[in-house]
Amino acid sequence: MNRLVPALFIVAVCFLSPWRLAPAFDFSSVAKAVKKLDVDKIADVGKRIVASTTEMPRDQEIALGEDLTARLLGAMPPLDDPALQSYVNRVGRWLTLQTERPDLPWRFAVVDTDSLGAFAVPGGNVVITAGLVRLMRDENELAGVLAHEIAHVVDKHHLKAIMKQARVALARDVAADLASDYVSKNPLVTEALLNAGMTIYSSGLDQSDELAADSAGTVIAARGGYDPLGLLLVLTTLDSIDVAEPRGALLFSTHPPTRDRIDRLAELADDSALARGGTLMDEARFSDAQARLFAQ
Amino acid sequence: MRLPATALTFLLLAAPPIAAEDPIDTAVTIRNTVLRAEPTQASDVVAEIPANTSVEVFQRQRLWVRLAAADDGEAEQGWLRFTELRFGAETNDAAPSPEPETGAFAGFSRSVSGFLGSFRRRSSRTTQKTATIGIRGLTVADLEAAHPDVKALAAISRFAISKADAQQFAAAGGLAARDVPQAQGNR
Repeated sequence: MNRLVPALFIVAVCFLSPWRLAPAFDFSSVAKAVKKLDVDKIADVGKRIVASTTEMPRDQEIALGEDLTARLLGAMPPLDDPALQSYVNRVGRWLTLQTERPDLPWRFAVVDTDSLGAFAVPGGNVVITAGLVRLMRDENELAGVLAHEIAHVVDKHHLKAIMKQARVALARDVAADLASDYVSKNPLVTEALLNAGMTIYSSGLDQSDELAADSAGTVIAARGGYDPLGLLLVLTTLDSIDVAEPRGALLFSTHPPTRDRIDRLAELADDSALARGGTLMDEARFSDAQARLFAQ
Repeated sequence: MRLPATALTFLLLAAPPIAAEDPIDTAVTIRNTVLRAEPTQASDVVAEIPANTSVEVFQRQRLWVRLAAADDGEAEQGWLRFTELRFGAETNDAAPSPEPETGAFAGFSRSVSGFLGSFRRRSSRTTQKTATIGIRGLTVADLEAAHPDVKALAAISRFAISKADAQQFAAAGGLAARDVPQAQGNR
Protein backbone atom coordinates (compact mmCIF):
# COMPACT_ATOMS: atom_id res chain seq x y z
CA MET A 1 0.00 0.00 0.00
CA ASN A 2 2.78 2.38 1.00
CA ARG A 3 4.66 1.65 -2.17
CA LEU A 4 1.59 1.97 -4.27
CA VAL A 5 0.97 5.59 -3.37
CA PRO A 6 4.20 7.06 -4.87
CA ALA A 7 3.78 4.82 -7.89
CA LEU A 8 0.30 6.12 -8.46
CA PHE A 9 1.59 9.65 -8.01
CA ILE A 10 4.18 9.15 -10.75
CA VAL A 11 1.62 7.66 -13.05
CA ALA A 12 -0.67 10.55 -12.38
CA VAL A 13 2.01 13.15 -13.09
CA CYS A 14 3.04 11.43 -16.29
CA PHE A 15 -0.39 11.19 -17.68
CA LEU A 16 -2.01 14.31 -16.33
CA SER A 17 0.70 16.95 -16.59
CA PRO A 18 0.62 17.29 -20.40
CA TRP A 19 -3.09 18.13 -20.11
CA ARG A 20 -2.36 20.70 -17.46
CA LEU A 21 0.52 22.31 -19.29
CA ALA A 22 -1.13 22.48 -22.65
CA PRO A 23 -4.81 22.19 -22.05
CA ALA A 24 -5.89 24.31 -25.01
CA PHE A 25 -4.26 22.13 -27.61
CA ASP A 26 -5.08 18.80 -26.13
CA PHE A 27 -8.55 19.69 -25.02
CA SER A 28 -9.67 21.00 -28.37
CA SER A 29 -8.39 18.00 -30.23
CA VAL A 30 -10.09 15.68 -27.79
CA ALA A 31 -13.23 17.75 -27.96
CA LYS A 32 -13.21 17.55 -31.73
CA ALA A 33 -12.89 13.82 -31.60
CA VAL A 34 -15.69 13.55 -29.09
CA LYS A 35 -17.86 15.84 -31.13
CA LYS A 36 -17.47 13.79 -34.23
CA LEU A 37 -18.53 10.67 -32.41
CA ASP A 38 -21.07 11.62 -29.80
CA VAL A 39 -21.91 15.26 -29.41
CA ASP A 40 -24.69 15.25 -31.97
CA LYS A 41 -26.27 12.36 -30.22
CA ILE A 42 -25.73 13.85 -26.77
CA ALA A 43 -27.14 17.17 -27.86
CA ASP A 44 -30.14 15.43 -29.31
CA VAL A 45 -30.80 13.60 -26.07
CA GLY A 46 -30.25 16.82 -24.15
CA LYS A 47 -32.68 18.64 -26.35
CA ARG A 48 -35.27 15.99 -25.73
CA ILE A 49 -34.77 16.16 -22.00
CA VAL A 50 -35.11 19.94 -22.13
CA ALA A 51 -38.13 19.71 -24.39
CA SER A 52 -39.85 17.29 -22.08
CA THR A 53 -39.56 19.65 -19.14
CA THR A 54 -40.35 22.82 -21.07
CA GLU A 55 -43.76 24.23 -20.43
CA MET A 56 -46.35 24.09 -23.14
CA PRO A 57 -46.50 27.28 -25.23
CA ARG A 58 -49.44 29.56 -24.51
CA ASP A 59 -51.35 28.95 -27.75
CA GLN A 60 -51.11 25.21 -27.25
CA GLU A 61 -52.20 25.49 -23.64
CA ILE A 62 -55.26 27.39 -24.86
CA ALA A 63 -56.03 24.76 -27.51
CA LEU A 64 -55.70 21.94 -24.98
CA GLY A 65 -57.85 23.88 -22.52
CA GLU A 66 -60.64 24.29 -25.06
CA ASP A 67 -60.69 20.58 -25.81
CA LEU A 68 -60.73 19.72 -22.10
CA THR A 69 -63.43 22.26 -21.34
CA ALA A 70 -65.57 20.82 -24.14
CA ARG A 71 -65.17 17.41 -22.53
CA LEU A 72 -66.11 18.68 -19.06
CA LEU A 73 -69.16 20.36 -20.58
CA GLY A 74 -70.02 17.03 -22.15
CA ALA A 75 -70.37 15.65 -18.62
CA MET A 76 -71.96 18.77 -17.13
CA PRO A 77 -74.02 20.91 -19.52
CA PRO A 78 -73.82 24.68 -19.03
CA LEU A 79 -76.84 26.28 -17.42
CA ASP A 80 -79.04 28.03 -19.97
CA ASP A 81 -79.17 31.36 -18.19
CA PRO A 82 -77.37 34.23 -19.94
CA ALA A 83 -77.85 36.65 -17.03
CA LEU A 84 -76.29 34.28 -14.51
CA GLN A 85 -73.47 33.27 -16.89
CA SER A 86 -72.66 36.92 -17.60
CA TYR A 87 -72.66 37.78 -13.91
CA VAL A 88 -70.25 34.97 -13.01
CA ASN A 89 -68.03 35.93 -15.96
CA ARG A 90 -67.88 39.52 -14.71
CA VAL A 91 -66.83 38.50 -11.19
CA GLY A 92 -64.28 36.06 -12.56
CA ARG A 93 -62.86 38.35 -15.23
CA TRP A 94 -62.32 41.12 -12.67
CA LEU A 95 -60.37 38.67 -10.51
CA THR A 96 -58.16 37.61 -13.43
CA LEU A 97 -57.07 41.23 -13.81
CA GLN A 98 -55.42 40.87 -10.39
CA THR A 99 -53.15 38.06 -11.63
CA GLU A 100 -50.02 37.68 -13.75
CA ARG A 101 -52.06 36.23 -16.61
CA PRO A 102 -54.75 38.83 -17.30
CA ASP A 103 -54.56 38.34 -21.07
CA LEU A 104 -55.62 34.72 -21.34
CA PRO A 105 -59.00 34.23 -23.05
CA TRP A 106 -60.74 33.78 -19.72
CA ARG A 107 -64.22 32.30 -19.67
CA PHE A 108 -66.37 31.04 -16.82
CA ALA A 109 -69.26 28.63 -16.98
CA VAL A 110 -71.94 27.64 -14.48
CA VAL A 111 -72.96 24.05 -15.13
CA ASP A 112 -76.30 22.48 -14.43
CA THR A 113 -75.67 19.94 -11.69
CA ASP A 114 -76.44 19.72 -7.99
CA SER A 115 -73.01 18.23 -7.42
CA LEU A 116 -70.59 20.52 -5.63
CA GLY A 117 -67.48 21.46 -7.51
CA ALA A 118 -65.41 23.90 -9.47
CA PHE A 119 -62.85 23.07 -12.14
CA ALA A 120 -59.88 24.99 -13.45
CA VAL A 121 -58.88 24.16 -17.00
CA PRO A 122 -55.63 25.30 -18.64
CA GLY A 123 -55.78 28.30 -20.92
CA GLY A 124 -58.18 30.35 -18.82
CA ASN A 125 -61.30 28.22 -18.32
CA VAL A 126 -63.21 27.88 -15.07
CA VAL A 127 -66.29 25.70 -14.58
CA ILE A 128 -68.42 25.94 -11.44
CA THR A 129 -71.48 23.89 -10.55
CA ALA A 130 -74.90 25.37 -9.82
CA GLY A 131 -74.97 23.24 -6.67
CA LEU A 132 -71.95 25.04 -5.27
CA VAL A 133 -73.25 28.51 -6.17
CA ARG A 134 -76.50 27.68 -4.37
CA LEU A 135 -74.58 27.13 -1.13
CA MET A 136 -72.97 30.56 -1.23
CA ARG A 137 -74.11 33.58 0.71
CA ASP A 138 -72.65 36.48 -1.19
CA GLU A 139 -70.33 37.65 -3.98
CA ASN A 140 -67.31 37.49 -1.68
CA GLU A 141 -67.77 33.74 -1.41
CA LEU A 142 -68.24 33.35 -5.16
CA ALA A 143 -65.09 35.41 -5.68
CA GLY A 144 -63.20 33.23 -3.20
CA VAL A 145 -64.00 30.04 -5.09
CA LEU A 146 -63.40 31.53 -8.55
CA ALA A 147 -60.09 32.97 -7.35
CA HIS A 148 -59.00 29.53 -6.11
CA GLU A 149 -59.63 28.12 -9.61
CA ILE A 150 -57.97 31.11 -11.27
CA ALA A 151 -54.90 30.49 -9.12
CA HIS A 152 -54.73 26.92 -10.46
CA VAL A 153 -54.73 28.26 -14.03
CA VAL A 154 -52.24 31.05 -13.35
CA ASP A 155 -49.83 28.65 -11.68
CA LYS A 156 -50.49 25.97 -14.33
CA HIS A 157 -51.19 23.27 -11.77
CA HIS A 158 -53.35 21.18 -14.09
CA LEU A 159 -51.19 21.76 -17.14
CA LYS A 160 -48.11 20.50 -15.32
CA ALA A 161 -49.96 17.53 -13.87
CA ILE A 162 -51.43 16.64 -17.26
CA MET A 163 -48.06 16.75 -19.02
CA LYS A 164 -46.44 14.73 -16.28
CA GLN A 165 -49.13 12.09 -16.53
CA ALA A 166 -49.10 12.04 -20.34
CA ARG A 167 -45.33 11.56 -20.37
CA VAL A 168 -45.71 8.47 -18.29
CA ALA A 169 -48.38 7.18 -20.63
CA LEU A 170 -46.37 7.77 -23.79
CA ALA A 171 -43.16 6.28 -25.02
CA ARG A 172 -40.23 8.49 -24.13
CA ASP A 173 -39.43 9.56 -27.71
CA VAL A 174 -42.93 10.76 -28.33
CA ALA A 175 -43.13 12.40 -24.95
CA ALA A 176 -40.20 14.63 -25.78
CA ASP A 177 -42.35 16.43 -28.33
CA LEU A 178 -45.47 16.45 -26.21
CA ALA A 179 -46.07 20.17 -26.36
CA SER A 180 -45.60 20.71 -30.09
CA ASP A 181 -47.31 17.51 -31.13
CA TYR A 182 -50.50 18.53 -29.40
CA VAL A 183 -51.29 21.28 -31.80
CA SER A 184 -50.03 19.38 -34.82
CA LYS A 185 -52.61 16.83 -33.72
CA ASN A 186 -50.41 13.83 -33.36
CA PRO A 187 -53.30 11.52 -32.48
CA LEU A 188 -51.24 9.62 -29.94
CA VAL A 189 -50.19 12.76 -28.10
CA THR A 190 -53.60 14.39 -28.34
CA GLU A 191 -55.26 11.32 -26.90
CA ALA A 192 -52.69 10.97 -24.13
CA LEU A 193 -53.04 14.60 -23.07
CA LEU A 194 -56.83 14.60 -23.10
CA ASN A 195 -57.00 11.33 -21.21
CA ALA A 196 -54.45 12.61 -18.72
CA GLY A 197 -56.57 15.73 -18.32
CA MET A 198 -59.76 13.87 -17.55
CA THR A 199 -57.88 11.63 -15.15
CA ILE A 200 -56.64 14.68 -13.26
CA TYR A 201 -60.20 15.97 -12.94
CA SER A 202 -61.41 12.70 -11.49
CA SER A 203 -58.40 11.89 -9.33
CA GLY A 204 -57.35 15.38 -8.27
CA LEU A 205 -54.14 17.36 -8.14
CA ASP A 206 -51.40 17.05 -5.57
CA GLN A 207 -52.76 18.24 -2.26
CA SER A 208 -50.01 20.82 -2.04
CA ASP A 209 -51.34 22.42 -5.24
CA GLU A 210 -54.79 22.67 -3.67
CA LEU A 211 -53.49 24.30 -0.51
CA ALA A 212 -51.37 26.68 -2.61
CA ALA A 213 -54.44 27.62 -4.66
CA ASP A 214 -56.38 28.28 -1.44
CA SER A 215 -53.85 30.83 -0.26
CA ALA A 216 -53.08 32.29 -3.70
CA GLY A 217 -56.81 32.53 -4.42
CA THR A 218 -57.42 34.31 -1.14
CA VAL A 219 -54.79 36.86 -2.10
CA ILE A 220 -56.30 37.31 -5.60
CA ALA A 221 -59.75 37.94 -4.11
CA ALA A 222 -58.32 40.43 -1.62
CA ARG A 223 -56.49 42.22 -4.44
CA GLY A 224 -59.81 42.57 -6.22
CA GLY A 225 -61.27 44.33 -3.19
CA TYR A 226 -63.23 41.32 -1.99
CA ASP A 227 -63.39 40.12 1.59
CA PRO A 228 -60.49 37.65 1.85
CA LEU A 229 -62.60 35.46 4.13
CA GLY A 230 -64.89 34.47 1.23
CA LEU A 231 -63.20 31.17 0.42
CA LEU A 232 -62.77 30.34 4.11
CA LEU A 233 -66.50 30.82 4.65
CA VAL A 234 -67.35 28.53 1.72
CA LEU A 235 -65.03 25.90 3.16
CA THR A 236 -66.77 26.27 6.50
CA THR A 237 -70.07 25.54 4.76
CA LEU A 238 -68.54 22.54 2.99
CA ASP A 239 -67.21 21.31 6.33
CA SER A 240 -70.79 21.01 7.56
CA ILE A 241 -71.68 18.64 4.71
CA ASP A 242 -71.45 14.91 5.29
CA VAL A 243 -68.60 13.63 3.14
CA ALA A 244 -70.78 10.63 2.30
CA GLU A 245 -73.33 12.81 0.48
CA PRO A 246 -73.17 11.96 -3.24
CA ARG A 247 -73.23 15.60 -4.32
CA GLY A 248 -69.93 16.18 -2.52
CA ALA A 249 -68.23 12.91 -3.43
CA LEU A 250 -66.06 14.16 -6.29
CA LEU A 251 -65.13 17.39 -4.54
CA PHE A 252 -64.15 15.71 -1.29
CA SER A 253 -62.27 12.86 -2.95
CA THR A 254 -60.15 15.22 -5.05
CA HIS A 255 -59.27 17.78 -2.37
CA PRO A 256 -57.42 17.77 0.96
CA PRO A 257 -59.63 17.30 4.03
CA THR A 258 -61.78 20.42 4.35
CA ARG A 259 -60.71 20.88 7.95
CA ASP A 260 -57.04 21.04 6.90
CA ARG A 261 -57.89 23.68 4.30
CA ILE A 262 -59.78 25.74 6.88
CA ASP A 263 -56.95 25.59 9.40
CA ARG A 264 -54.39 26.62 6.76
CA LEU A 265 -56.46 29.59 5.67
CA ALA A 266 -57.16 30.60 9.26
CA GLU A 267 -53.41 30.93 9.75
CA LEU A 268 -53.23 33.08 6.64
CA ALA A 269 -56.05 35.28 7.93
CA ASP A 270 -53.82 36.30 10.81
CA ASP A 271 -51.83 38.22 8.27
CA SER A 272 -52.77 41.86 8.67
CA ALA A 273 -53.30 42.46 4.95
CA LEU A 274 -55.88 39.70 4.88
CA ALA A 275 -57.57 40.75 8.09
CA ARG A 276 -59.11 43.72 6.28
CA GLY A 277 -62.64 43.31 5.03
CA GLY A 278 -63.77 43.87 1.48
CA THR A 279 -65.26 46.95 -0.13
CA LEU A 280 -68.17 45.35 -1.96
CA MET A 281 -71.25 47.57 -1.70
CA ASP A 282 -73.69 45.96 -4.11
CA GLU A 283 -75.09 42.92 -2.36
CA ALA A 284 -78.21 42.68 -4.49
CA ARG A 285 -76.49 41.59 -7.67
CA PHE A 286 -75.37 38.31 -6.15
CA SER A 287 -78.78 37.65 -4.61
CA ASP A 288 -80.48 38.42 -7.91
CA ALA A 289 -78.16 36.12 -9.83
CA GLN A 290 -78.40 33.33 -7.28
CA ALA A 291 -82.20 33.60 -7.14
CA ARG A 292 -82.24 32.44 -10.75
CA LEU A 293 -80.83 29.12 -9.59
CA PHE A 294 -83.65 28.64 -7.12
CA ALA A 295 -86.30 29.62 -9.64
CA GLN A 296 -85.31 26.89 -12.07
CA MET B 1 -98.88 56.55 40.14
CA ARG B 2 -100.69 53.40 39.38
CA LEU B 3 -100.72 51.97 35.88
CA PRO B 4 -103.77 50.24 34.55
CA ALA B 5 -103.28 46.49 34.42
CA THR B 6 -103.54 46.40 30.63
CA ALA B 7 -100.79 48.99 30.27
CA LEU B 8 -98.57 47.09 32.67
CA THR B 9 -99.11 43.90 30.73
CA PHE B 10 -98.27 45.72 27.53
CA LEU B 11 -95.03 47.08 28.98
CA LEU B 12 -93.98 43.67 30.19
CA LEU B 13 -94.64 42.11 26.83
CA ALA B 14 -92.91 44.86 24.91
CA ALA B 15 -89.79 44.86 27.05
CA PRO B 16 -87.14 42.65 25.51
CA PRO B 17 -86.74 39.69 27.81
CA ILE B 18 -83.24 39.19 29.11
CA ALA B 19 -81.16 36.60 27.25
CA ALA B 20 -83.81 36.07 24.62
CA GLU B 21 -81.47 36.83 21.74
CA ASP B 22 -82.12 34.39 18.92
CA PRO B 23 -79.07 32.47 17.78
CA ILE B 24 -78.26 32.80 14.08
CA ASP B 25 -76.83 29.31 14.04
CA THR B 26 -75.76 26.35 16.08
CA ALA B 27 -72.39 24.67 15.97
CA VAL B 28 -70.06 22.27 17.74
CA THR B 29 -66.49 22.89 18.82
CA ILE B 30 -64.06 20.76 16.86
CA ARG B 31 -61.26 20.84 19.47
CA ASN B 32 -60.56 21.99 23.00
CA THR B 33 -60.66 25.74 22.87
CA VAL B 34 -61.25 28.90 24.90
CA LEU B 35 -63.85 31.65 24.94
CA ARG B 36 -62.53 35.18 25.12
CA ALA B 37 -64.07 38.37 26.42
CA GLU B 38 -63.46 40.25 23.19
CA PRO B 39 -62.88 39.19 19.56
CA THR B 40 -59.07 39.34 19.75
CA GLN B 41 -56.40 36.80 20.62
CA ALA B 42 -55.04 39.16 23.27
CA SER B 43 -58.34 39.34 25.10
CA ASP B 44 -58.97 37.62 28.47
CA VAL B 45 -60.02 33.99 28.50
CA VAL B 46 -63.46 33.74 30.08
CA ALA B 47 -63.98 29.99 29.77
CA GLU B 48 -62.36 26.81 28.55
CA ILE B 49 -64.55 24.78 26.25
CA PRO B 50 -63.88 21.14 25.51
CA ALA B 51 -64.13 19.66 22.03
CA ASN B 52 -67.58 18.66 20.86
CA THR B 53 -69.41 21.27 22.93
CA SER B 54 -72.68 22.50 21.45
CA VAL B 55 -72.87 26.25 21.06
CA GLU B 56 -75.37 28.86 19.95
CA VAL B 57 -73.91 31.53 17.71
CA PHE B 58 -75.29 35.08 17.91
CA GLN B 59 -73.02 37.24 15.83
CA ARG B 60 -70.02 37.11 13.51
CA GLN B 61 -67.34 39.75 13.34
CA ARG B 62 -64.67 38.92 10.75
CA LEU B 63 -63.02 35.70 11.96
CA TRP B 64 -64.79 35.77 15.31
CA VAL B 65 -68.20 34.74 16.51
CA ARG B 66 -69.98 35.62 19.74
CA LEU B 67 -71.65 32.61 21.24
CA ALA B 68 -73.02 30.84 24.27
CA ALA B 69 -71.75 27.42 25.22
CA ALA B 70 -73.70 25.23 27.59
CA ASP B 71 -71.27 24.03 30.23
CA ASP B 72 -72.86 21.79 32.87
CA GLY B 73 -76.12 23.65 32.57
CA GLU B 74 -74.46 27.03 32.91
CA ALA B 75 -74.19 29.03 29.71
CA GLU B 76 -70.78 30.57 29.15
CA GLN B 77 -70.73 33.52 26.78
CA GLY B 78 -67.80 34.87 24.85
CA TRP B 79 -65.93 35.01 21.55
CA LEU B 80 -63.94 32.52 19.55
CA ARG B 81 -62.82 32.15 15.95
CA PHE B 82 -65.39 30.43 13.78
CA THR B 83 -62.70 28.15 12.46
CA GLU B 84 -62.88 26.37 15.84
CA LEU B 85 -66.44 25.30 15.04
CA ARG B 86 -68.33 22.98 12.78
CA PHE B 87 -71.60 24.59 11.83
CA GLY B 88 -75.01 23.09 11.37
CA ALA B 89 -74.18 20.09 13.50
CA GLU B 90 -76.81 18.72 15.81
CA THR B 91 -76.69 20.13 19.28
CA ASN B 92 -77.61 18.07 22.30
CA ASP B 93 -79.71 20.75 23.88
CA ALA B 94 -80.92 22.58 20.80
CA ALA B 95 -84.21 24.42 20.87
CA PRO B 96 -86.80 23.11 18.42
CA SER B 97 -86.06 24.24 14.90
CA PRO B 98 -87.97 27.38 13.93
CA GLU B 99 -88.60 25.80 10.56
CA PRO B 100 -90.45 22.52 10.90
CA GLU B 101 -89.93 21.64 7.25
CA THR B 102 -86.26 21.16 7.94
CA GLY B 103 -87.22 17.86 9.54
CA ALA B 104 -87.76 16.13 6.26
CA PHE B 105 -84.64 17.63 4.76
CA ALA B 106 -82.58 17.78 7.88
CA GLY B 107 -79.46 16.53 6.16
CA PHE B 108 -79.52 19.27 3.60
CA SER B 109 -80.60 22.00 5.96
CA ARG B 110 -77.74 21.17 8.26
CA SER B 111 -75.37 21.44 5.39
CA VAL B 112 -76.12 25.11 4.91
CA SER B 113 -74.85 27.08 7.81
CA GLY B 114 -76.54 30.35 8.54
CA PHE B 115 -74.19 32.32 10.69
CA LEU B 116 -74.38 35.35 8.52
CA GLY B 117 -77.71 36.14 10.12
CA SER B 118 -80.37 36.56 7.49
CA PHE B 119 -79.13 33.54 5.66
CA ARG B 120 -81.22 31.18 7.75
CA ARG B 121 -84.34 32.23 5.87
CA ARG B 122 -82.68 31.78 2.54
CA SER B 123 -81.38 28.39 3.47
CA SER B 124 -84.89 27.23 4.21
CA ARG B 125 -85.87 28.22 0.71
CA THR B 126 -82.86 26.30 -0.51
CA THR B 127 -84.18 23.34 1.35
CA GLN B 128 -87.50 23.46 -0.39
CA LYS B 129 -86.25 24.02 -3.88
CA THR B 130 -83.36 21.65 -4.01
CA ALA B 131 -84.09 18.73 -1.80
CA THR B 132 -81.06 16.78 -2.84
CA ILE B 133 -81.08 13.88 -0.45
CA GLY B 134 -80.43 10.85 -2.56
CA ILE B 135 -79.32 12.70 -5.67
CA ARG B 136 -76.65 11.00 -7.63
CA GLY B 137 -73.58 13.18 -7.61
CA LEU B 138 -71.22 13.66 -10.49
CA THR B 139 -68.92 10.67 -10.65
CA VAL B 140 -65.54 9.76 -12.00
CA ALA B 141 -67.30 7.55 -14.54
CA ASP B 142 -69.30 10.56 -15.79
CA LEU B 143 -66.10 12.48 -16.43
CA GLU B 144 -64.37 9.59 -18.12
CA ALA B 145 -67.34 8.80 -20.34
CA ALA B 146 -67.87 12.42 -21.35
CA HIS B 147 -67.83 13.27 -25.05
CA PRO B 148 -66.65 16.74 -25.99
CA ASP B 149 -69.55 19.14 -26.39
CA VAL B 150 -68.24 21.73 -28.82
CA LYS B 151 -71.60 23.50 -29.04
CA ALA B 152 -71.67 24.00 -25.29
CA LEU B 153 -68.15 25.42 -25.44
CA ALA B 154 -69.27 27.90 -28.12
CA ALA B 155 -72.34 28.75 -26.04
CA ILE B 156 -70.38 29.65 -22.91
CA SER B 157 -67.73 31.51 -24.90
CA ARG B 158 -70.36 34.11 -25.77
CA PHE B 159 -70.39 35.27 -22.17
CA ALA B 160 -66.69 36.10 -21.98
CA ILE B 161 -66.16 39.60 -20.62
CA SER B 162 -63.71 42.26 -21.79
CA LYS B 163 -61.27 43.84 -19.36
CA ALA B 164 -63.10 47.15 -19.62
CA ASP B 165 -66.45 45.56 -18.81
CA ALA B 166 -64.93 43.78 -15.83
CA GLN B 167 -63.47 47.03 -14.53
CA GLN B 168 -66.79 48.77 -14.92
CA PHE B 169 -68.57 45.95 -13.12
CA ALA B 170 -66.10 46.12 -10.23
CA ALA B 171 -66.40 49.88 -9.88
CA ALA B 172 -70.19 49.71 -9.94
CA GLY B 173 -70.07 47.30 -7.00
CA GLY B 174 -67.65 49.38 -4.96
CA LEU B 175 -64.66 47.13 -5.66
CA ALA B 176 -61.23 48.66 -6.16
CA ALA B 177 -57.99 46.80 -6.77
CA ARG B 178 -55.56 46.99 -3.88
CA ASP B 179 -52.06 45.85 -3.09
CA VAL B 180 -51.92 42.63 -1.15
CA PRO B 181 -48.57 40.85 -0.84
CA GLN B 182 -48.34 37.20 -1.82
CA ALA B 183 -48.94 34.95 1.16
CA GLN B 184 -45.85 33.62 2.87
CA GLY B 185 -44.80 30.13 1.95
CA ASN B 186 -46.76 30.28 -1.26
CA ARG B 187 -44.92 29.72 -4.56
